[in-house]
Amino acid sequence: MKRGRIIGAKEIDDSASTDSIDNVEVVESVELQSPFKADVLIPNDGHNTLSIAGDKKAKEAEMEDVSCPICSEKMLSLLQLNRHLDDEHGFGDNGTPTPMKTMPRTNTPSPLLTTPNEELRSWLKKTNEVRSKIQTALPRKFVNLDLFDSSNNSFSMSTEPSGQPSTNTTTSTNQPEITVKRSHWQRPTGRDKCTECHKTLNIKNGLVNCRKCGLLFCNSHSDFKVKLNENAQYDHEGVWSRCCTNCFQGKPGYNDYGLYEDLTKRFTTLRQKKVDERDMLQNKLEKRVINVSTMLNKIDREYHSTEFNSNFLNFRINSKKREVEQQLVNWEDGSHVLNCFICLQQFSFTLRKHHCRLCGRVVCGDNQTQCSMEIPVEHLTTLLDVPKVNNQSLIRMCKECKDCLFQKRNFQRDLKSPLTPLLQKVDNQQSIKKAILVLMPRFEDILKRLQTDQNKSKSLTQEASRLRKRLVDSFASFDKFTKEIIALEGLSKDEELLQHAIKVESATFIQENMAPLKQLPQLLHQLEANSNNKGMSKPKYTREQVTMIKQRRQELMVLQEQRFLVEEMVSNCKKQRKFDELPMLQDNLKELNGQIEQVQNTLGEEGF
Amino acid sequence: MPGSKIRVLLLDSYTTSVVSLNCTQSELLQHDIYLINRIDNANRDKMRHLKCICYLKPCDESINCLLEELRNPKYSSYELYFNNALSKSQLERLAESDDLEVVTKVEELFQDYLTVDKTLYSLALQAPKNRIYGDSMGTWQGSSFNTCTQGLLSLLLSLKLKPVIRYEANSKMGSKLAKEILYNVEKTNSSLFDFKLRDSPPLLLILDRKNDPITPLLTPWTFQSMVHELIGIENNTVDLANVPGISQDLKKIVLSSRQDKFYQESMYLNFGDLSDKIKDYVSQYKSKTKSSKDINSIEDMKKFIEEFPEFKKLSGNVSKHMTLASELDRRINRGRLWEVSELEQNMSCHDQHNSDLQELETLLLNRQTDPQKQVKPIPDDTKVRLVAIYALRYESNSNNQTTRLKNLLKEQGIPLYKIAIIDTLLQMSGSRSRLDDGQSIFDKATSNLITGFKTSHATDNLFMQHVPRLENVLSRAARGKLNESLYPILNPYGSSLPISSQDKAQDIVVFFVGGATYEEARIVHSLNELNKGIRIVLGGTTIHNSKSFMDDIEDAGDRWPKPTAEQRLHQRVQL
Repeated sequence: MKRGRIIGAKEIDDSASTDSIDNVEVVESVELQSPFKADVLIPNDGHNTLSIAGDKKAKEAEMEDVSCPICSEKMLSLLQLNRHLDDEHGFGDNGTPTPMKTMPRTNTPSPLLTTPNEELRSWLKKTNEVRSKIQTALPRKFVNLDLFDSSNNSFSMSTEPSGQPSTNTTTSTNQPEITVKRSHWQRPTGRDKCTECHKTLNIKNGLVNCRKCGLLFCNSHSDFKVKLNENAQYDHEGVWSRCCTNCFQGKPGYNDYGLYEDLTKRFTTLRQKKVDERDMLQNKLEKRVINVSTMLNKIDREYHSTEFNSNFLNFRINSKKREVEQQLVNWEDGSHVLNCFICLQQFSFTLRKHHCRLCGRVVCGDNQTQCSMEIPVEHLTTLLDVPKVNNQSLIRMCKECKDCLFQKRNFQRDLKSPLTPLLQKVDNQQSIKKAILVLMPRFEDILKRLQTDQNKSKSLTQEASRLRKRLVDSFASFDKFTKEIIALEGLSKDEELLQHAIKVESATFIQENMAPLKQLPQLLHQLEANSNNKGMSKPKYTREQVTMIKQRRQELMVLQEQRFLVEEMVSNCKKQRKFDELPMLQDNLKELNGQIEQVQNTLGEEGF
Repeated sequence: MPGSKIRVLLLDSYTTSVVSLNCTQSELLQHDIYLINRIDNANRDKMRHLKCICYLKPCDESINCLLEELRNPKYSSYELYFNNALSKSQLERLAESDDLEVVTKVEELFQDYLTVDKTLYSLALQAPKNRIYGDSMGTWQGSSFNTCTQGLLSLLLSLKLKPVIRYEANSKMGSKLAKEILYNVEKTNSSLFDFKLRDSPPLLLILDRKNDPITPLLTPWTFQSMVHELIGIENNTVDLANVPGISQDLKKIVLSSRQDKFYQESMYLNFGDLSDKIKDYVSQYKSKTKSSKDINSIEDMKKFIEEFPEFKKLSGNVSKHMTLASELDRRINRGRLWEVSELEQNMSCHDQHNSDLQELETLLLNRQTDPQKQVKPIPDDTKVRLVAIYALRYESNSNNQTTRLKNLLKEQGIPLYKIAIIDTLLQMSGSRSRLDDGQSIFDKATSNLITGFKTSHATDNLFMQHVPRLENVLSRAARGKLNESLYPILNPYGSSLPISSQDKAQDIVVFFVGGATYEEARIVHSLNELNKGIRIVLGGTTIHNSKSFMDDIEDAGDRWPKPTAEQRLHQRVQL
């Protein structure tokens, strides 16, 4: 009993710190609330072992070496041990202190014995069967049941990490090296509440300090464990310690997931090499184009100036040109080449070999594959934006050189080209949407202030109506653009998809965002009634008339907004074939139209 | 330079399902993504004012499409995201194709798996398209093995776990996968797996379906499981096109706990509680319609219009769940599942051979119990399923009648290939092939109060008595009670952090070779709820219902060599 008493007393020191409770059984009843703690205390008395193990249907039957943990007297069965404990050590009904009875668990030892249930009976039988030699290591074995690591299996780690040997004279050979500090613990005052569930803490539902933050909790809200070091900081090399939900979930990396690995740098360095090469090649090719074109031009001019035209001269010109072209690039020897290097077709009588004038490789001139083509020099120089040469002669170039020269240019030209009508409208619409999204929170904020503000300050209402007007305008133009987008025709397939997406998105956007706008008129309504219309200087109307006109106008605005919304819904319903909702909406619409007309009539020329 | 803010999202066949499980169209719209297209669709228009985001699986198919796209870009710039590790050569090839420097970002995002739910993932490997079983028992199909390894690795990376791996000693497939994962964690991807040490090392538990063939065979009675069993859930969508008299917009419905609050609350409820819940839901809807009907003043109208979108959503959801529940009910009655399930539960949880056999024969032969009422016979598949459960349950019973029952099925004209499922099941996961860890798979629900680990069961429900083996395994794993010889340990930390079988994991990832079930997902969900100190994530090669499970077995058994006469004799002798 000694050990149990010591530890029990220590627990009180920890949690209650008052000497008013010095009853071991009281502490045990506390501990029983939490299943794993109960196991810790098992070595304290065989009594609890019995009741708890009975619950678990003797899962660890092999551990049952029955001897009294108090006086080490050998017992034949647990039943006998139980009776022994009751008789000799005063655990029986009369010996049990009162708190035992208030325990929520019904299976206090004596009822268990007098009315043993089936489970317990069968279990007791089993334990007798498997009973082996009596070992003295009983407490140790039970400690292994504990949820905490076996490396910390001295009792002190769960009840009192700093258990000093001054009182703990009995065993505890396995003193942990690390003792978590306790100076930050919240001292119990006797009227403490669980930091999490705010239940009043008492010995029954636990009075536990979270080892990490030091605050007080009930048993169920301190049922977590983390590893802490001496300074009660998270440390995966520390000791397992009890903690609260917050400290458990707040430990670093607890909610850390979604790993991503950025490869952009590696990618760009890899790409850079290739891009440099390509740019160099492009430069080289461009230079060659310039050279070829100027040379050809020169030859042409030379011979044209003679103005002597004959087949022979043409031949001379052509051979001269070829000579020049071959000077610029080494022509590949065509005799060994059997296939075009692009389309891989075999050369034949009909598929002739050609040389690309820019890279010199042998290529076919098939019109279908367009592996190579002849381009007028004049055209080429314009496209490449190099010094222009007015010359009609043709240069043959292969597809690869052409791509190298023009692909990037074309791509960049496309990027610079103006947006298509659809994209332009969409962009406008999107920027309005952004503006609305910026204005909306401000407007809502003002509305909230208006609602709470008792003074109904004038500037605030003015600001609100100003903002509201801007928002209404924005919504109107947003709607205008949306309608334009929807009306656009002659789009490509992907653009049609885009159009549809915009349509859906805009409808939800309007539905979701227009609600707060409707609140202001009501508010202003009330405000207007109180205000004294100082700013009104129009002599044409009396004050009353002005207020009335204002009211009517606002009414009209609300009505029109609503009509707009209802129309939207009607069209939605039609699209989604939800005809059951349609009549209701149409009734609404009719009613709204009537109202609008009425209001407009009363307003007369003062309408919008 | 003119350019639109609108963005295009390009996906491949695999990431399409990943994205569709994770976000809705409107969520994409909020991020200016107005166009979603497939990268393998060659007929896309050139729109060089739009920016493009690619989210792809780094498989050869998609990479080749992407190379082509980069060589001839249709959009102005590209951000490339891959859901798994990109190999060095793949990155090089991409860099070489990007002549026009259109790529602005390359990132690996690690999500090469389908997130069905918060705690459930799947790799969607199912026969015959993606079979997992190889050509003999206990072997992998090569491609599926790679998918599993890559998928699991990406899962571990995305959860930032460097786990201790444990598998079932009797499972060849499990052990192969475990070793491959270990190799990858230690060697191939060691730089990625350089995470901060946790208090307790996380656990990857690789289980084999063959050790619990019962769970997928039983009729489940909770909402999500039932929908999957009776109708079928694929990527969180349910196809109701075969339901008589279904309206157009309910032909394909989405069941996502993330978007549908009602579903989130009711997905784990049993059928009885579900009907109560739906009743409440409908009455709530009714009260709303009532209030919206009497619109007399402008005030009312205003209120109605403000509430209208919400109202519309509610009405859509109510009719969705009503349709679903009534369809479930129709199929239950059609399949006579009340009777069938009662027998299943009796067989799986109690040992009463003679009465079970009698009951089974009554159902198989469609003996009429009530002469007043003629009932239709149960479907063939159900018959095979019942005999399979019987065969597994009473395998070692001295009075075993499996052969006679199989002949009985044959006489009823059930095709032989279906009856062969029973043999394959016995061959694959008969009592000798299962892991003998002192825990029967024919386990009854008891409200166990195990120290330090809470479970909860409705013990009084006749139709939900059986508890999947998973629960027991998990409860032992959480308490550090998994036997090392039965569940060998692979430790990626080496000697720096010795691991013992008594370590209690706080994060557990379960992977079922051969498929998990929604029933097990429910168990995991409730364990997570009850034990806040532990987080469990469940997944498998696929998510099975009884039909897909039997199809898998049938497909595998078809290819596996039949046991020789000698082996059969040996088997008999051992029994």
